[in-house]
Amino acid sequence: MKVSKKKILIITFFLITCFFLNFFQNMYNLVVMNYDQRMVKTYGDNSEQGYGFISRVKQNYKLYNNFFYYNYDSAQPHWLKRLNPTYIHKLNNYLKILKDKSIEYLIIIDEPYDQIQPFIIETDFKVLIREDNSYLIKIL
Amino acid sequence: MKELSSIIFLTTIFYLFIVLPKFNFYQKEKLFLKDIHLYLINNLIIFLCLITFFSILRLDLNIVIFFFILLILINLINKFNNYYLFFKSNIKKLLFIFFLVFLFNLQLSSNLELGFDGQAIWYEKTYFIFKGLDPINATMNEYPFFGSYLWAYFWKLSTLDFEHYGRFSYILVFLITIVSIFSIYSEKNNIGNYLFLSLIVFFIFENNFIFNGYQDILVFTLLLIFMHYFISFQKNKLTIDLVFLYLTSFILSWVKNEANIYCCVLLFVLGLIQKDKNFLLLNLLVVFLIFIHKMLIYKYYFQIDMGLQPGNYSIKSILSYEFEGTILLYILISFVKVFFKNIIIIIMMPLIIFYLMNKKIFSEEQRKTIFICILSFCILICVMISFYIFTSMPLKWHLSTSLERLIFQVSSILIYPSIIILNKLTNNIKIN
Repeated sequence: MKVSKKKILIITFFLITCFFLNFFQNMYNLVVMNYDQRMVKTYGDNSEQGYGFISRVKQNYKLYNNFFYYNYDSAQPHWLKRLNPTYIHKLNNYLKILKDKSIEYLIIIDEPYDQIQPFIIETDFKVLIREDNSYLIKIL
Repeated sequence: MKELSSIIFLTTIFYLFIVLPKFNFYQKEKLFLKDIHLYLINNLIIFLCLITFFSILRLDLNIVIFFFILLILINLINKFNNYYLFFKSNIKKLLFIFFLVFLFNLQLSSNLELGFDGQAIWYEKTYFIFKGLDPINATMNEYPFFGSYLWAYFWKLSTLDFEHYGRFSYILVFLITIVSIFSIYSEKNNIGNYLFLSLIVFFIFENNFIFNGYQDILVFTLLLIFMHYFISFQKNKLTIDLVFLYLTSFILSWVKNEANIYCCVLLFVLGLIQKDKNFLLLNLLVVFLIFIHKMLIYKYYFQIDMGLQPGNYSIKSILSYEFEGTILLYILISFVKVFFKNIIIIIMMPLIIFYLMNKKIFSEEQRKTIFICILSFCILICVMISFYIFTSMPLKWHLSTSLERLIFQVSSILIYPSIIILNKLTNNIKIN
């Protein structure tokens, strides 16, 4: 069978484009990982913005418009928009937290325990879940 | 596999949605049979213009979807035969763009990351529009929301609850435009231009400009279309080109506030180049309208005060500005550094040297086009320098967060002279 030069050129161009535009890697990612797994890869499990941690918390606790979200990076993740949290940028300002009676939980992402320990002791809040440096805290 | 099949399905639907005609006048001219790429760009501008208009009205997305489906159906039923011919005679060209769009969509779906502004500003506006809320109440209400409306529109059109499907629209707009522009301007089988197109596509793919939810890719693409009509009008003096040029300016002014300034400046340059007093007056009037209409709509229709960046620039701070040579030098050095990060500018530099050394081999018309594009680019760079001179934010931070993106936006203008010079350069090499 004779293959024309033009066809070889087209196939080569096709393969080079696929390679440089990550076709094979992306196909693998999409087949192997579902949406949540890809979101965890991008926004972190117990770190970065804590997508994985909040997804797990959501399965056991009702989270909507009733929690504070604290992240050292001051990020306001777009994927949290539907849960409508209140963002806090300073953990020490806990008097503000105590005043808001409608809010039940405080979620802290990617913060070493020794940094939040004085805050926990002072406020007497209860840590419900702790995974690495992420916490779900019940506001008492 | 489920996700993969929805990506293939949505890419096809979205692609057809943009490619299919929006108005009948193409059928009269049968433009799509004569020149498919010109048809694609005109059709895209009409589509984006309608979207801009609907976004200003803050129309419910379901109505907009219904409107476009109806419009396309009417066009298809009217002259189905023409569209059969359209697909039959251009299938390879259409499949090539589709293939690139699909690869880009795969990358976007695989890496879902949004940039900082993408999350904090543009997504929030999109979310408000998607949920049927008023985008004026979202954060940064002085920023226009055409890009977010487009994002929300395709997100809604997908009928699936994943925001990233809405971002497919940016990829479609960019790839349809860049491939069409290259096809219109480059000579047939010019290997130099194929390589240049590949490099630009790869550069944008790698730099994440298209995937992170920022609006810069839209400014880049629309400036590219703007310059196409600019050059076309300069060459043929056709009213239709001028109308499309003004429509593109209208869309640009609703993408980002700085884009509004860019198109006003460039339209002003067009008026000066024409040497026709009547045209200059008409053009000045249009420039004034394009500049002022947004402010009036914000003030009397949205009922908020609009500014370029109210926290950053004010008339008072501009008037009390004191010139410092070292600051200007620092800004200029930062610009030069960023020039060397932009593949279009890097490629343009040796091409300019070639052009200056072999000016005679270019026709008068080509020289004029090259001059206009380079002049426009330089003027926009000067405008940008003034943004940084008058900034009230920390200069170093301001430069580090925005300069690369701003230069990327306007670098699209340099694509035209590069294509013209590459056409000649490749021909020269062939002859030798």
